[in-house]
Parts: sequence; C-alpha cells; structure tokens
Amino acid sequence: MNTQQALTISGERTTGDTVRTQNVMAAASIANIVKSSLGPVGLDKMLVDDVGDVTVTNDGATILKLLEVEHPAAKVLVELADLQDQEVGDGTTSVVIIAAELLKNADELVKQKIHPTTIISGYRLACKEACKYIQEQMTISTEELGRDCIINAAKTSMSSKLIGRDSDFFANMVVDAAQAVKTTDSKGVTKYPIKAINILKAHGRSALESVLVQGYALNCTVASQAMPKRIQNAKIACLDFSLQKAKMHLGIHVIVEDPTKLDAIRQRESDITKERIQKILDTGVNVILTTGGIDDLCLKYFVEAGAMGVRRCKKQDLKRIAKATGAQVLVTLANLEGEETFEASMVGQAEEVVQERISDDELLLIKGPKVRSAASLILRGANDFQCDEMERSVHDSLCVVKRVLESRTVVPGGGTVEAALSIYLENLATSLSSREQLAIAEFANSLLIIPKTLAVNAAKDSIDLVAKLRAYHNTSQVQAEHADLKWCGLDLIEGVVRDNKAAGVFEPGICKIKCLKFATEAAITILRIDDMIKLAAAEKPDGHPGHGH
Amino acid sequence: MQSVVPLELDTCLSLCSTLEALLLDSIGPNGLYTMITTSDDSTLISGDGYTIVTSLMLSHPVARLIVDHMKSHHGKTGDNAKSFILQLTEILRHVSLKEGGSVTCGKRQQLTELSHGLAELHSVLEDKLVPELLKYCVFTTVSEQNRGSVEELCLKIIRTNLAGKFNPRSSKHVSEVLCKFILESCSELSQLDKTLLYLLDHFEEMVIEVTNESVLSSRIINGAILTRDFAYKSSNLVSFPQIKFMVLNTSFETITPNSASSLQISSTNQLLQALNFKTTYTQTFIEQVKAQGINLIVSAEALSEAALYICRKQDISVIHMVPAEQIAHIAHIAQIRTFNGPDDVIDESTIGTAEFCHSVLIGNSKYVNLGISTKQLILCSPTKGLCRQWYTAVHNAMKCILMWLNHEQIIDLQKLAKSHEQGTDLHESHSTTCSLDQKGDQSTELPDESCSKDKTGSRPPSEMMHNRDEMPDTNSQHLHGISIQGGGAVEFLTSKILSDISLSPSTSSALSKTSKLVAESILCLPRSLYANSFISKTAKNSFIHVQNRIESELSTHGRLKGIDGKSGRVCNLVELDVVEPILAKYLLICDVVKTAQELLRIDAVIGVKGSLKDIRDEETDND
Repeated sequence: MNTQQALTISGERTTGDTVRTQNVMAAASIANIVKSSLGPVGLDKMLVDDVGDVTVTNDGATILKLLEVEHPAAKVLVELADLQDQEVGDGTTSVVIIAAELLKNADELVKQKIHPTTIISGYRLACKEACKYIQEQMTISTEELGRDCIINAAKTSMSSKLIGRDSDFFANMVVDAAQAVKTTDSKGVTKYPIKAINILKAHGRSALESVLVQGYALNCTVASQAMPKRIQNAKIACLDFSLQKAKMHLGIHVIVEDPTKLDAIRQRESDITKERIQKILDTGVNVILTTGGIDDLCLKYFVEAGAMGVRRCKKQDLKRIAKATGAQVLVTLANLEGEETFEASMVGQAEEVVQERISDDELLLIKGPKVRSAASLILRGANDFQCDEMERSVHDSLCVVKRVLESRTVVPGGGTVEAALSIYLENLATSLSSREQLAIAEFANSLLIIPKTLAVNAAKDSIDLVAKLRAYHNTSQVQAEHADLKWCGLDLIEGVVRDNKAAGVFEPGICKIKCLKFATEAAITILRIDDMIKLAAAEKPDGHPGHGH
Repeated sequence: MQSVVPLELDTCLSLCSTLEALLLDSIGPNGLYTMITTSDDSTLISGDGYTIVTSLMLSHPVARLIVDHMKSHHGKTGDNAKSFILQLTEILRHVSLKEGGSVTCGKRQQLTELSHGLAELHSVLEDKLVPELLKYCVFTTVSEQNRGSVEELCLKIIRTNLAGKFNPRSSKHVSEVLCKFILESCSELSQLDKTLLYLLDHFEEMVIEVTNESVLSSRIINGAILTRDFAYKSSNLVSFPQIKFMVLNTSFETITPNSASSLQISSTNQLLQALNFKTTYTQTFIEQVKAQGINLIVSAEALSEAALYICRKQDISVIHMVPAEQIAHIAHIAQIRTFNGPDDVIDESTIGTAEFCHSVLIGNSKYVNLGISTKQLILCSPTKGLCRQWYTAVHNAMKCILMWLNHEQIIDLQKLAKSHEQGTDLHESHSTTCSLDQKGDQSTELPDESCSKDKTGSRPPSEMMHNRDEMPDTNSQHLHGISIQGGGAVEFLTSKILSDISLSPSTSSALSKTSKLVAESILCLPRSLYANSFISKTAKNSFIHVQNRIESELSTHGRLKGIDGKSGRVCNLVELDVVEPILAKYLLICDVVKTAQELLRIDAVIGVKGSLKDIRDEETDND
C-alpha cells in the first residue's frame, strides 16, 4: 500500500484569497454580459447556436440559460437567475447584477482583513432588515390603486422588451388573460395558473393585431374539408389513440384455410374501428380530438355524422383542453371489464368550436369551455424572431401580473426601492457597534448598482442622478414631513428623478424581496468557499466489486 | 467567455454593403443579371433579388438575421427583396455617418437613442404617412361591373412586378396569361381575394412546369391536368357528353387484412379457390363500378394488370399512379369524396362528372386533361432552372396582387385620413385633382361615384371632396384595390413627408433626427433606379437635378412624379403603366425601419451551446 497515494488529491487545489478573487471575477463577468440589458432602455443580445440559429432577446433568464458556463461560481449565478425565473418570472437580470455586486464588495472587505463569516452574518442581517423594510414601508396595496396598478406593473415588466412600444395594449391583454384563468379553491384562495394560458404565435401583420381568445386555441385544423368549421354547443372527446383500421400486434399470425375468410378478417378489422367511432358518436359527441391519426375511411363516418375530427393534436394541448372542458383523455376505450365503452361522462363541453383563419394558418378555437375558463393569446409579429421574443416578454409579464394579483401588493420600480434601502441600511449600520457594520454598509452600497446601471444604460449621468436620488430618500427618511419623497425613482427617458408611484412604475413586491433574498444567498454561498478542488476525471474502476451492474 | 463578442455598427454596415453591392446593378427594368454557380457546376442566371440573396452562404449571424428579416418581408409581399436590403444599408450608412465613423463605447448610447427614435418613427408612420400616401393612391372597386379596369390594373401590377427579372417579351406574355388565369379562376370578382388565397394555397396543383418549350407558349388550360397518361383509354370516352368518374385514394385490391396472415391450403380445390379469389373480388368490384355508370377511374395507386384487364373488358378508362395531392385537389373541385378501399360504398358522393377527358401533349409528356370546373396554368420554359424561376416569379406576382387587395391595415386608417383632410382643404384639392387625373389617365373608373369623366376637364373641388368622401363607405361592402405609381415616386413622397415630420416643431429630438435620416436614406432606391437607366449622366442630368425637379413639382403643384427606370425621364409613371400595390410599399418602409431598429439595439453576439431549437422545444414540453 502506498500511503502517499491516499493523502494526495487527484486534481488541482486552489485555496484562500485566490479562489475567492477568481470566483468574484467569474461572477462579475456573468453580470457584465446581462448588465446592458437592464432597464427600459436596455439593449438586446443576439444568441447564436452551434448550427447558426439566431435568437435576439432581452430576457436575462434566456441569455444566461443558454450561456456556455464552466466556472462553478459562474454556474451558481446562472442557476440563481433560473431560480428567480421559476419563482417570480421577472427580475432575473437584476438578481444577477446584485449578487455580483455583493460579491465584489465582499471581496474588498476581505482584502481589508475582515473575515468572510463576519461579512456573511452582516449580509444576512442586512437582507433580513431590507426585506422587513420593503414589507413595512415600501409596499402599496393593490386595493388602494385598483386595476391600473396591475396594468402598470405589467407595463413596467415589458418596458425593456420589444413590445415596450405597445405596452398599453399588451398590458391590458395580459391582465385580461390572467384574470380569465382565475380559479378559487375550496379554501377561498384565488390562484392564477398562468400555465393554462396558451400562447400561440402567427407571423404576419403587426404586433397590435395580437388577440386574446376566451377559450383554447389549437394549432390544428379539421381533418377533412367536408367537415363543418363551426359547431355550437360542442361536445368534445379527447382521444390518445389513432382511429385507424385495427391491427393485430406484432408476432400474432393468423392462419386461414378458406380465402373468403381473409375478407372476413379484413372486414372485421375495419368494423372494430367503425364500432368504436359509433360508440363515441352515440354519446352525442361532435368534436373529436386525437393525438393519433384518423384514416380516410373513419373520416367518412365523421363527415356523415357532421362531426369535426382533428388529428395529430399535441398531447399537452389535449390535456389542457380536457381540463378546461371537463373531458377525459382516453388512452383506450376498454374499461375494467375488458369491454369497450364510451360514456357520456368522458365528454367535455364548450359553447363553440370554430376554425378560423389567422394569418397564413387556420386555427381551431374552443370557445367558452364549460368547466374552467381558459385563455389563449395569439401573438402576431413580423417574423419568427419577433414572435419568439414577444412570447418570452408576454410570459414574463404574465408572471408579474400573477404575482401582483396573488400577493396584492406592489412596490415602485425604477431604482426607488434600492435607493431607499441603501439609505435605510446605511443608517442602520451606523447604529450597530459590531463588525457587521461594515458588511451592512457594503450591502447598502451594493444595492445602488441597480439605479446606477439603469442610468448608465439610458445614457444619463449616473453619478449625478444617483446622488440626487439618494438625497431625496435621505430627506424622506430623516424628516417626517417629507415622507412622501420615499416614492422617488428614476425617469430614464427624461433623465430626471420623479415620483414613480404617481408615474405608475410598479413591480410586484414579492419580486423585489425574492430578488434580494436569492442574491444574498448566492453571494453567501460563493463567499463561503475558500478552497476549490477540481478533481481529475475519475479513472475507470475495472473489476472493482460492486460495480457489476 | 470568449464567446461574447460586442457587435459594432460597422460590422452590420459592412455586411449590408456586401449584400447591397450584389444587388445594386440589378435594380429596375434595366437591371443586370447575376450568375450564380454552385460547387457542382450548376449555374443560375437571375435578376431576382430574393433568389440572389438566398443563394448565398452567409456565415455571419447578423447577415443571416438581416436576410431572414428580408425573407419574412418577401414572404408577405412577394416583392421588394432588393429594395429592402438597399434601404436598410442606406439607413445604417447614414447612422454611421452621423456618428462619424467607428462607434466606440460612449457612442453606443447615441445609437440607443437613434434606435428609440426609429421605434418612435415606426409608430408615427401609421398616423402620418398613410393618410398622405393615400391621397395619391388609385382606388379601384373590384366588382363584376368594373371587370375591364380591374383586369387592366392587375396586368399592370403583374408587369411591374415582373419587370427587369426576365426579358420583356416573355414577361409581357406571362403577365397576360397570369392575369387572365387569376381573373378567370375567379367566378365572382368581389371574391377575388379569396380566390387568390385559394390559388396560393394550391399553387403546386394549379401550375404545371414544362421544360423544353418557349416561354411564349405558356398558356391556360381548361379543366384539371393529371400528370399521368391513361393506363387504359376506352375508345368511346370522347363520345360521352358527360363522363362519370370516381377517384380512388387507396387501391381497391388490397383485400388482405392488416394483421399478418397466411393462407393454408390442404387440397387442390382450395388452391383453385384461392387463385380465383382475388380475381373474382376485383371483378365484382369493377362490375359494381360499371353498374353505377362510371366510365373513368382515377387512382392514386397502381392497378394490377388483372384489374386493368377487367377494366378494359368493362370499357372503363383508367388513369393510375396519380399523385395524392392531385387526387385531393380533383376531389375538392368536383366536390366528391375519395373512395377509400374495399370497405367503402360507392354512392352519389363518390361519383363526379366531367365534361370531357382526353390526352394532351404538354412538353414532351402526355397528360390527361379532365374537364372539371378549374383552370390550369402551364408555365413553359427552355430549361429547368429558368422554369423554376418563372414558377417562383409567378407565385410572387400573385402575392403582389393579393397585397393590392388586402389592405385591412390601411382601411381603418382611411377614416383617419379623412379627418386629416378636413383640416387641410387647400392641399387636399390639389391632391384630389392629381389622383383623379390619374384615374382619368388609365380609365379606372369608379362605377358608382364617378359617373361621367372627361380626361381634360377638372371639376370643382367641392364635387371631388364629395367623391372622395364616399369612398370609405363603399369600402365596407366592396372589395377595393389600392395602388400607387412605382418608379421611386413613393420614395420621393415618403421622403418629403418624413422631412416635414422632422421639421415640425412638435416632434421630439430623437424622432426628428431619425425621420430626417430615413427621409434621406429612402431616396437610395430612385437613385439607383436612375443610375441604372439609359440616360447619359452628365452634370446637367445628375440625380440631384432630377430630385430637385420631382420635389419642387410635388411641393408646388402637388403632382407626384417618378423616374422611368428605362429612359431615366421624369414623368408620371402611371402613364407608363408602372403601378405597385400601396400596402407592399408601406410594409417595406415599416419592416426596414423595424429591422434597423432591432439591429441598433443589439450590443453583443453570444455563442451558446447546443441548439436553440432544442431548448425551445424542451421548454414547451416541460410545462
């Protein structure tokens, strides 16, 4: 036995300050990529993949998700953005920028011989206080402001995007869509399952011709020209199998002696499907949606019955339609007794199913589903890129609207919260006599990166603007008669400081709180690392017991 | 992170310039052609901008983005591929000049401002540009009473669209044939837009390419063409006044079950029975067909020799191995359903009637012409490559006509235009005269409103106002075509309107900057049109002079003129039958502005791992 072997590490090891500096730099480089896309005047990024496909986007989550990141610390940041995207759906860019700034400032402190654990506890404390401050001081109830504030929150989230120009139109549409899918459970809790909103894209025409359909839009057409294109009081069957001539499974071989029997078998094969269709039609079904195919002969039966048959629907769509209309997605007609039945309870209902031409494609719209309201957005844009980017922006806005509706609170945007917090935390820091004071002060300082970046991106004098902003917030917190100044934020088009509550720049409060929490957590995670071991690729254990499988 | 590359304006500009250089000489009716050679030595000579640009291998992602934008514009309008690239390049060039050459970090912000200005401009276009443009447009009611003028205008639009892409004589012939084809396919002119949509959807079935014949022999054939010959032709098929036919989707001879099966034979008797089984079956089926009085079977699949033999005996003509699309097309036109194999029953809904059915020789192949109520366009051309070009050109020309009719985007704005007009009476009377003059010139009369029209006399303005006011009302019931003269006239007009916007005190600084910029750069189109014309380019004849003349004509007399791409003369292009649909022109400006705006907004190119498509698909699967 070689005792030396057991102690060495098969790989590289970096320790101490070097690893921290490396991590901070990696985080900063990630933040730098998305930095310029923050704010209403942010710029877009062009993403090019291996095969040369191009996407143009402003969405931080999308950019980071696609980045080729190897450094572990950078990966933490990318995951952070993803987390924010899943949890809130907006504020992905800011969370990354804040986390990187927190790290940068922490690194400075460490260089001044302050122990990372002190910084960590300082950051924790600062974050807790900041969240408390947001909840107590900065939030505005949506009841106070009404529907307008929800629309304004949606507008704020899309201001930096391609559809920012038409934000009035889209904000209204998004809010309507979110409200269309509102559900209240037995405990009286209202939910807005925005996943139930189906977003379809059709290119041609201008963005302003996008429409909200109260119902479900399906990117399929009826299987035969002879079928009706509009059915009132639709009864819908959702099938997850093909309506084709029945066929024995592989390996089953039929041997016949009389050639006329062959004909009988064939006859039987087509009769099986015919009987199935008959069973379905007998329940009064007039719209049949299936994930599989419908062969020409079966189409004939549907045409004769005046029913709509739609083939090759996406399973995902069918599931949602089934949920909305109260239908059951059937994998087979066989029941527990082994007989084939189709019962009326498996049928879903909707007021109307209609096929309409939108742009170059025909779409099937299921209007007024019976069980649960559904909404579909049909986005129109000049081309695929635009449609894709619109979809992402609309999705973000939907998330924001959902958060606002569920939490019923908003906070003013445009750097207002960050500036207020920085003043508040600085004052808090001075009141503490422990070492955490420095960390809290740095935390306060780090938050200013948001208004700074906003101003820089808008080509305004960031130093001047941020100084003014801080002055206003300081006044509001120190002098009680000027408390109203706490709503001051940046106007990035004009380059001035204004009251963002009056201007209607809102973000969901939860977004800001989560953003701070996540950024702090990520910063702490990276800060705690003082030793990095990069293992060499594991050698193949050959003949090792226990690796038999 | 070496995969993140900042994107400079200069890069965009140089990419655009490369594309522009390829196209510059092929603008206008005197345009030159480009020869494209592939690695496997096949060559293509074309003057079509879309063909040239899309045949390039572009490695830079930004170039691909630009071309993709161009494609999407072309897909909608079927025209303007060259103009798109040209105008985009010119806008970028002006931006670059404004910023004084290379763009550094600090100047990025100015670009952002310009990009926002362009976005603002885009929203202004609809309110300001459309009403002005509409004043110079020609409105044509598309209805049966007006057939003559509709036909004339259609022809003009198609000819303008095809001009410069092919030699004049063949373009003339094809445009005449195409125009006739479109109008004859349309039973009721007020449904022309729907007919066009149908034609475009079924373009492959409606148009047949034939090589080894002169373009001049392109023609229209009544009835449908099946690109197969008779497998068996009954001698008295021609004698029937009405031919009853059925279309088979699958072969009626597939009588074996889907499931794997085999026949076990244990005696001679059984063997005989088995041998006869299929023949008997086929025989019964064909007898059944005969009993229904059917004289023609059109089948997608091949019929066996035995089946053919029985058909021959029963005197039923057969065409088999017809492509499935043609089968579906015929079934749709004849309003019958296809017959789906042995389990189906023959009834009224499967039997169609045709007026005639005979073999025709098209090119070198023998096809069958089936007399059902449809038309078929035969496009002839000496070589295959050229044929393909004609094919796409005809497709695009159809889209162009659709653009002429499809103006929902502008129609709402017309009311807006009206409200604008009331404010500017003086200017209005001028422009109305002008537009009426144009109508007089080409005798596109509006049947209801303009009852009497003399070409020389101009009527009092009040009456004209009345005339114009009525038009939006009729729009709601009738289909209208809106067209405007080509030859750079629209560009001059747009340029003037945009400079007016930029000078107006109420516009913001960003908007004023960008509208001036676009106003200047949009003139690149007439400039290159002029440069390609035959006029001798002396100092006296320089473009600046021409530009001056046209602009002064426009501002003092309110008369819109353009440049004749052939001779380089300044004239009213309507007289020369150069007419373009207004919507296409308007969309061009919109799309170019939008693309430029998007390009200016991009600040970095990032390489990513994997494929964007895969990731997108994953996302949709997950939720």
